[in-house]
Amino acid sequence: MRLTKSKVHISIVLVALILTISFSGLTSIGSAQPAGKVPVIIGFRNFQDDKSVGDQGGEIKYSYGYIRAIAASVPPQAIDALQRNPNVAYVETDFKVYALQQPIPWGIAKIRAPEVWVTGNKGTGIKVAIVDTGIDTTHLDLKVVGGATFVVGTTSYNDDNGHGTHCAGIVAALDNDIGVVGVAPGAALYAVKVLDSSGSGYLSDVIKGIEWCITNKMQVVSMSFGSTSDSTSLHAECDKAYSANIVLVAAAGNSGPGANTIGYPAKYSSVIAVGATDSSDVVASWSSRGPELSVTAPGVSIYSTYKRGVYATMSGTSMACPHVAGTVALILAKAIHTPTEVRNILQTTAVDLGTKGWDSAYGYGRTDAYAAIAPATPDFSVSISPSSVIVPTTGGTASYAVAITRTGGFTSPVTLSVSGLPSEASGSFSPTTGNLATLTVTVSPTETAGSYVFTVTGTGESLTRTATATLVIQKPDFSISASPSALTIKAGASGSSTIKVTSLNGFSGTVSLAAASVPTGLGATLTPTSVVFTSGGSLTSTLKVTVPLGTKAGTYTITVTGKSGLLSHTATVTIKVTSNGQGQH
Amino acid sequence: MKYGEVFTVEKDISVETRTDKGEYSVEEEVRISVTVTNRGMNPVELIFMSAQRYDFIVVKDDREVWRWSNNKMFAMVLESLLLKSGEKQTYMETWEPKCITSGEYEVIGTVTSRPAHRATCVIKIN
Repeated sequence: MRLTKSKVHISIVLVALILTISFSGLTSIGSAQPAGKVPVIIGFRNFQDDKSVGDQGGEIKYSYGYIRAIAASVPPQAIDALQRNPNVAYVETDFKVYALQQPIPWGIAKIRAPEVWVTGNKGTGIKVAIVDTGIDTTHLDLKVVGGATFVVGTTSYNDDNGHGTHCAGIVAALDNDIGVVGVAPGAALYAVKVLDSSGSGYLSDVIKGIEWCITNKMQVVSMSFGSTSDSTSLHAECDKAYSANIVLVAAAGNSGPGANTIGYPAKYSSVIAVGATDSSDVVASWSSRGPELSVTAPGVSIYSTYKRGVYATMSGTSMACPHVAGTVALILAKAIHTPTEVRNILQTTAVDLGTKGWDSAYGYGRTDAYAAIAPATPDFSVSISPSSVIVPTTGGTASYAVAITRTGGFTSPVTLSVSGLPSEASGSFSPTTGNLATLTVTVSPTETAGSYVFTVTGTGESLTRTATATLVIQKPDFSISASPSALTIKAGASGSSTIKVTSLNGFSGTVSLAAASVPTGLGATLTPTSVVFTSGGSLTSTLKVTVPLGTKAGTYTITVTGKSGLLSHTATVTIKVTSNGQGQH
Repeated sequence: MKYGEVFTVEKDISVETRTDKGEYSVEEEVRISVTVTNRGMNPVELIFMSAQRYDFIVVKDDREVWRWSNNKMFAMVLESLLLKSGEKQTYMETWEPKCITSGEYEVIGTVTSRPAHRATCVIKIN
């Protein structure tokens, strides 16, 4: 226990409650409008169409010079017709610009949460547990749905410190006329109190808090706390929550800039570790670094709700963590995903900062809530296999499988074409529709051997996607070898060796075999004296060598020559002649 | 050397680690405090990288026997503590030794600001 309380240096800002206008929907706003008409701004795709606005009973106020848009007052029933006009890109309400009474904190704007709300997604109903110091239960800018306390000596999950209320506001401060607004203002906030009034807590209480989250089926758990020491039981509890499909998000820690400074539980693979960036998208020097870092989020000078109904500015990876927890609520409100999928979405849609790709200071980059929920752009890719096929110079065909992979709802036909083949080759696709085709490359007889990289191009709508493969044209040939290549024969006896001829690069035809340069006196016969290839492979002939009595002992050489047209290859057999009584029969 | 108290000075900041006694019997609880004092003329701001303000570590023969923060979690928020000239801040915890041998123990008291301020005293357990 502490003897005295330390003074926490934070700026407490009292909120000014000022009424603001509602700018939801296309209802009448402002007073100087023609009766029964709604002020709108109409954006056009191709040209500014004053006529269609007039035809719909609209009165044009401005026709803008730099943007393709018109400000006008139109009857409410004309809005639908305008929106159906293919030349109309958008119709938006022309509301009066007031000084905002509910400022959007920089972090919320930075991660583009307001752009998500416009799509109708505010994370509504997603259960987010703030495992922390509790949440101010009477704060006008927060709605706490439920919770529990595991801090000894407390009976309520009301916040005794302020930290938990601050984190809760970052996740889900209400979208109302006061104070601030959170990343997912529609999320259902749960206060799980495990840290005491000083902001510290027992590991055992933290584990109990996560257990509560599992039992009460939380979907997102925000953990803005950490420790430098590992705990087997905390690790096991986090893994358990993860396998219960709960997305765990934790503060990476404030122990940077040294390497490997990420704390626990952020360090566990079942937890998404979040570092802190400032309003210029620069990582905070103190943000912990390490291989476990997943993403970064705003964490420097963050303005949010505080205990006793007020607001405060605070810094730390504690503040970055709930920005991601809120983003996860938006992701889950759009579609249900496993924690692994959520992590992938966050990482692949983050704005890459620092070293290109992942790095230990920014992870995969700064969280972008809008990119995380944006529909995938319709697209496709083309792939080809195998990557290389060999055809002989005497001509033939090569077959490749070409596949079209469609993503993001791309349904238009894709036309395939091939380019870069040598002049003596041509390619055709079969079938010409669908997502799988066989590319058959027909090569005319040619003497031009070589390796040709060609390109298969798929064209669909305005998109062009390519894949490359190689066509190898090789001259047909054969090889010849003898086994054994050395014979020991006694004078007056004979021996034999197997001559093997192998077709190479699609060689076909006749290879004539002959024993050349047979030393005087020795007999050499080949059976058969020619082999005929029809479909590659190897064929054999037998060389029989006869050594007459009286042949002088010594080493002799017989060359076996294989010929086919202009091609000629040889194999050599060495004959060691011994005097009587030695060698083979 | 005197058991149970030590005093270090770093520029204007002094740190003092004290125990309630110098010598203890085995399994007797040890009350430990660490005090940071601004001895300079100007205010000093201590920056803390989390809700943790202090830590206590007990070491015997270069082996860590106890660490107060071991089973604790801290809010990951930056906070600061302003010490006016002459102002001090004391933190205190109790170590309940379990299954330990007699001998001399080093008691390290740390104010976990960045930079940290620490002082090590020695106690004797008989």
